[in-house]
Amino acid sequence: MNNHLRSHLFLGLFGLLMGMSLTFIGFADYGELHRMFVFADLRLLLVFAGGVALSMVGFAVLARGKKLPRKSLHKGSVPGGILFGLGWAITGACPSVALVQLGEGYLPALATMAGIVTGVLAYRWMQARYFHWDTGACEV
Amino acid sequence: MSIRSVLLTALCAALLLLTPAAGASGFTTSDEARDWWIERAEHGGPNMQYGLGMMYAVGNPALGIQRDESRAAVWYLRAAEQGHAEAQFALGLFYEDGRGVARDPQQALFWYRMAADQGHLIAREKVLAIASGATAPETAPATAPVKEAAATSLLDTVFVNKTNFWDWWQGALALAFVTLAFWWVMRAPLGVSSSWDRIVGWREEEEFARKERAMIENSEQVTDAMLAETIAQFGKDAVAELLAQQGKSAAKTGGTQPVERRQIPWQAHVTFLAMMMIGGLLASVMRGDFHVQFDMGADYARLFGSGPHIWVLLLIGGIMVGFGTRMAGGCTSGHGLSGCSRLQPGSLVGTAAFFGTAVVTSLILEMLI
Repeated sequence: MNNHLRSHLFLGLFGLLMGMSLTFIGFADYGELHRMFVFADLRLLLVFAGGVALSMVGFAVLARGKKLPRKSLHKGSVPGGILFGLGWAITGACPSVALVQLGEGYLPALATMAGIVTGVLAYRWMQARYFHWDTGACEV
Repeated sequence: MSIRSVLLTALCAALLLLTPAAGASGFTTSDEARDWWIERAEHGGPNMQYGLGMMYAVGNPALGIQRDESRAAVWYLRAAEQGHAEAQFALGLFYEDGRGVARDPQQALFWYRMAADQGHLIAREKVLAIASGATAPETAPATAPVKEAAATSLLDTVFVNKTNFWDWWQGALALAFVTLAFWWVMRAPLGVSSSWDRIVGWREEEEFARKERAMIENSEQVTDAMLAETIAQFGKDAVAELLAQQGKSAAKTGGTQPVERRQIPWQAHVTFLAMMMIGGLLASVMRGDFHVQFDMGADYARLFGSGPHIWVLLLIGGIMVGFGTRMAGGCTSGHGLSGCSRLQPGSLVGTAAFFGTAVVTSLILEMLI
């Protein structure tokens, strides 16, 4: 199969799976997310911790001896994380959830998406001009 | 919110009772009076809509409103979607009993929850009753909730699913499956923020690819020119020897084709994100709570209010998300799932930073209301 076609097919499939899962989990629901952040309902926290724990086992078994990209600590890790955390609490959206929210019919998520594009562009510009960090970002 | 809505509800009820008695409402026909109400409800806030819903629920002959529960449900829904707690509770009752709408316990629970979250006490009792397995809360003995409360341990409060979303273990399985399968098939860790980055930087990428292609073509031309020059100077035997050597080294590095820097074209990331949106659409239709709406739901309205200003707020928040995730080198999926599960230092610190900040921000927001 053509490499391009294969990329579209598989990424499309994973996008669909992920979008559906996030909706069924309630990760794209602002109320659910907020109740996790204020520890009023720990269900989402368990979902996330459980997902990480299972992935840890999975990676340990499946990726044994394989070389995977490393994500090292760098100057941007903490300030970037803080900025994202603020945005996450305000919008209820991480980069995938903004799209899922729009799919669920929440039209204001368009504003969040416009913001994400602006933010990514601004960072690219800053990185090229001032930072020059090796962020070890997931290069797919 | 609650006192105001109680007052306005009382006002609506008073109007409802007074209009037939007064008779001098200024309207010549009852149709005119009804139209006035509908007009107000169309353009007014959730209180008016809830009021009209109530009128349809009980009927008001003086206003020319016949009892019509399905219309009542429509108006309740409109008010409920804007976070009107009483309307949410009323809609929950309608769904539970199948009045005006098809009977749907899931929807009933959803609306009871929405009302309960805003401090609606009867709705809270309903949610508790449904969670404890009583299908008909009205007929359940009065002592049942008390017994349930006594039996509830700390573990139950953590592990019992109080929502109509998946249980925590189902969600955990789904997230782990997506994370692992993505890596297994794509041979790259899952990370959504980099998809945004690839798409946003498509122009640079195309430029890069063009230059790379040009360089490869150039290098072929250069090789040909050098070959011709070598033949002219040293003769054919020397060239054959040289080519044999080149062949050997090419075999060693796995062919002369240059390794493509990025295996997945940026367009496939567009497919990825678009299908994520379609996934959200499909799943919410399957769950039966797909509504096109200009707000972000009742919980969002409770914290930030509703109106055009939330678009600005979301835009600013979105910029923080976009800039922050790229600066930290990953997001909830790239750092949180793929990175933390492989104990990557950057991911552990990054996740702690964004999760901690979100918790602190949310607690502050909660205190500010």
